[in-house]
Amino acid sequence: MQARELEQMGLVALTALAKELGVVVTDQPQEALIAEVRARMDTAPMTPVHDPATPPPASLPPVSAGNNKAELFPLRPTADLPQGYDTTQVVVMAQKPHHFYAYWEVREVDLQAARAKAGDLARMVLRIEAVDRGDTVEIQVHDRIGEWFFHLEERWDAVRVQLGLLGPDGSFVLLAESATITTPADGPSHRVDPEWAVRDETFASILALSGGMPAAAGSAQMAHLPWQGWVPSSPGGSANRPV
Amino acid sequence: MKQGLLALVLHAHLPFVRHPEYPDFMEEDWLFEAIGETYIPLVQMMDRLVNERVPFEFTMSLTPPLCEMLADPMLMERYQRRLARSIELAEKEIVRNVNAPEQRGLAEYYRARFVEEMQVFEQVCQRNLLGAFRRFQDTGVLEIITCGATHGFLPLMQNETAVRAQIQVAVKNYEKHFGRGPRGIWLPECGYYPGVDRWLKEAGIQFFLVETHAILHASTRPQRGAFAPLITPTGVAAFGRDVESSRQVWSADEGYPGDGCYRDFYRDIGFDLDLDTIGPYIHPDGIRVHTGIKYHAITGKGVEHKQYYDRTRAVEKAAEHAGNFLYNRQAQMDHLSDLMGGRPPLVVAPYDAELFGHWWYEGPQFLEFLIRKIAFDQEAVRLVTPITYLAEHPVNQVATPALSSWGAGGYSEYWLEGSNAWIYRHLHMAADRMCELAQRFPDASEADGLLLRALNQAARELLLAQSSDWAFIMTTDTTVEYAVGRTRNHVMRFTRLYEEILGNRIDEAHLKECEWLDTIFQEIDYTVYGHRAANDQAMQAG
Repeated sequence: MQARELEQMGLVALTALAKELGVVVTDQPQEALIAEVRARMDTAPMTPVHDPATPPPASLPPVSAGNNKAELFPLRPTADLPQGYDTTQVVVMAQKPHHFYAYWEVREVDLQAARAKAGDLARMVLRIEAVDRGDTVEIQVHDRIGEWFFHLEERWDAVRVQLGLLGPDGSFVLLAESATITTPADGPSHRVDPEWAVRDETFASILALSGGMPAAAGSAQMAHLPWQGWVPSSPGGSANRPV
Repeated sequence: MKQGLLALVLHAHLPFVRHPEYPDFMEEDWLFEAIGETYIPLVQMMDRLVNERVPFEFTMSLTPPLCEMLADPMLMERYQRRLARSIELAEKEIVRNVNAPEQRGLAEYYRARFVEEMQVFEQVCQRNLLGAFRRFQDTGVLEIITCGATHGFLPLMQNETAVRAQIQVAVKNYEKHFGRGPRGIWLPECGYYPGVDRWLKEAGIQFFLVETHAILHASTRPQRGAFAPLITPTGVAAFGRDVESSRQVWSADEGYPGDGCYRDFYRDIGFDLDLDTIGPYIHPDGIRVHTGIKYHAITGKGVEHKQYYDRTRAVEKAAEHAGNFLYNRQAQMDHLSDLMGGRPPLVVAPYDAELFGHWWYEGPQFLEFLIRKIAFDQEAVRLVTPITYLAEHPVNQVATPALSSWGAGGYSEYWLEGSNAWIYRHLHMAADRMCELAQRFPDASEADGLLLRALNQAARELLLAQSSDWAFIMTTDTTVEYAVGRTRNHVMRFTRLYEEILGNRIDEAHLKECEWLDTIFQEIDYTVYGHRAANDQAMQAG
């Protein structure tokens, strides 16, 4: 990408790209930011290189914008299963209160139609939206069929993901939109049912006696602790068996 | 005297593993080991307790895949053959160890144990273990609950019709095996999301089990924490797991099964003996497997030279641990009573059933000692089932539990992480396509011949692909290829059936092969996927 193209991107998109490339964004002038981005682009590939013969690492460095951190996993080879289903869709699922997974697919024809509207400089992004308050963050994606894990530092009650093309001027051409999901609660509610009121100190005692906070380890987790005589060596079965 | 209530819940589950295409299939051993080391010992335990009129009651889930396998003549025949080989091996071990008294004594113990196992299986149960469990339910000492049809992890299913189908198919299967509808359900992996309870209510289910924080993080503060159930807005009771009693059994630091006296699970002669000796009793391909004959005790952490297993000492230790467990429950309930506003605290202690006997060999003895001690040695703790609790305490706080599971971290990450996330694209598409089929062919009947069979088989393939076991195994280092293969095969079989149905070109040979391979749920009715109300509702939780 040339300096002229970077200049045309607009500060929001440029900042996002800079962060995605690992450039520390402070209050440097736009020219300086462009120079740092170009320098980083000369040395870093846009997508992590992964040898398909080796399993993906557990996590890769953050490559996303704003408060988000995302770990990129290549599609696992699935033998005879298709890579996609000739559809245009994006699906998001909550892994835990701050962690999500999205997968998507765009028909080539839909992508071309969107590209015609958005222009060649537009980049495909996942726009993650806090439905209840309108905040958004964007992560650039590259593949027509792909998947991401992403992390939100701040818990959003309801999350929706849009897949689209983000133009240098901030314009957005929508390709697909996920259903809205409600993220899991990560702590006790502040709401009290008057018929079932409980004093704060009593509730604190009950919480402590219940295993306290945060969420207690599940049986599956306990079963995987390095326990004498419980080292994995045999076929497994249900999730809570010490496999 | 203050009294507390203890609800023991055992979750008995294995994925549907049945391979008629092979004369001997290693993963079928999961079932055979669980029958011999867990299910039959539990049947024997309940038999003794009932015969001796020991008062007790507890809850046990028998999942639909497990029920289908236990009712399968081919698998039961294979189990019987394997058990006969075990008896033969034990007899050879008695001879081989003629000059090794400890091993010879243990070999004699195993021979007697296997012979007893055969006698219970063949004569007492008449090869019908489900019938034995049903008898205890009818007697009133056991509450058998169901589970998702194939143990699909519901919070990640995305398609409400597919979620509802997991419940509806499970309930029909329960009725087939137990002659009435289930009153409770073990949500697969305790995976709950707000809203799923409406499908439970519709199916006539009165209660389900959840992880502790499902209660603690509920929509309003739970007045009694996880020591009393919540009632969901749809009217189904949610009982939360007690962490303390779980930890005493599961924990690496405090857990009983790690005691040095107990039998070491991994030191099995299937791995220890040379191939010339053990060859006929392991997998025909030469892959070493567990034989069930294990001569060593855990002994200690990191100890290389294991002591020989002392059965008498191990059983005494189980009694000691049962006493310790009860003592701790008494202390726990005494402490909790002051916080419960006059209601007895309820401690819900759910475990994998296969922990007792299969993984923790002395687990059934622990349970029996515990039940006897509760019945005769004290009055502070009383065994109940959730149904009993609800009958005694019908008024409970109404709130919506939080999305949760009993997997690591308490949410969905065990079933959605780097190794297994790829499956969801395919599972979701298959579920959507199954709904499409049910809507396009809303009333296929016997008269439609192949079409009806293909639609029902497509539903079976989808359900089998959804089993949470495959996603879980992918996170481990064992049998990953098998789990990947099962997911892939069921999705591919489904997809081919889907395409052939829509193209009006059903290949009967392929359909027959699928029917021969994947026999689960002969009673299935694919129209369960045509439920329009469910189709019209968007998933509200991730």
